[in-house]
Amino acid sequence: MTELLLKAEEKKLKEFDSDLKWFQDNYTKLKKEYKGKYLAIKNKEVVDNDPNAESLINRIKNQYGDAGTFLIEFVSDRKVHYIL
Amino acid sequence: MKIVGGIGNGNLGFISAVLIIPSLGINAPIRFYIDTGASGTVIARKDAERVGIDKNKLKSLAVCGVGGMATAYALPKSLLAFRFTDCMHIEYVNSAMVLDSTAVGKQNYEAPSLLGIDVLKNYSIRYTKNQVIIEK
Repeated sequence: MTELLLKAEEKKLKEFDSDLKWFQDNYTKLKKEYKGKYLAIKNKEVVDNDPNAESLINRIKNQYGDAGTFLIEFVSDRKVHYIL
Repeated sequence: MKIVGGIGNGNLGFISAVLIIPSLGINAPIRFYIDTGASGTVIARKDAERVGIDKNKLKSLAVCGVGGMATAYALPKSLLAFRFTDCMHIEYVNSAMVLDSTAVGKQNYEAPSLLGIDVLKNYSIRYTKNQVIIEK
């Protein structure tokens, strides 16, 4: 049971990381089309976008039943630096 | 055992993990920025909403950080499933919280989830130009 559970988690992480890398690699291209918007990404594809993250997440939940495995990322019109 | 993560915004390291909260039925991946200055692991508002955490079911608490006072919500006992280079590994987390960004403004919606010292104390961390490597 534990092994099955971890295989499921491993698959989720691989897909999530793959989408994250795709987003980073294609950021410049995505910025031209989606500047100022949040993107919902799944399987290296932008499935929806919205300037409001909450609206986007709710729409994904309504359409797909669950937003947990989608990557939700903001395409900023200016460079934002994290300082932790 | 090691986890290899990426370098993101501000040259900060990040890794992904699956957040599992059995009592809330949560099981979803989250990207965590490595923050050795954070006393506890924090789930950002955007990630909390995405994975389906209902903060109304959680106990609220006041927290204070570099952004000033804010309201957070304590998560029940949680697990983080990490993908090491050769296996999966689970860490138990007892003090994770959801940060309510409405306390510090709408812009903070973009604040990232943080992997704090409550988890990182079990690991050594090193950086290369393009990677963060977390070892046990």
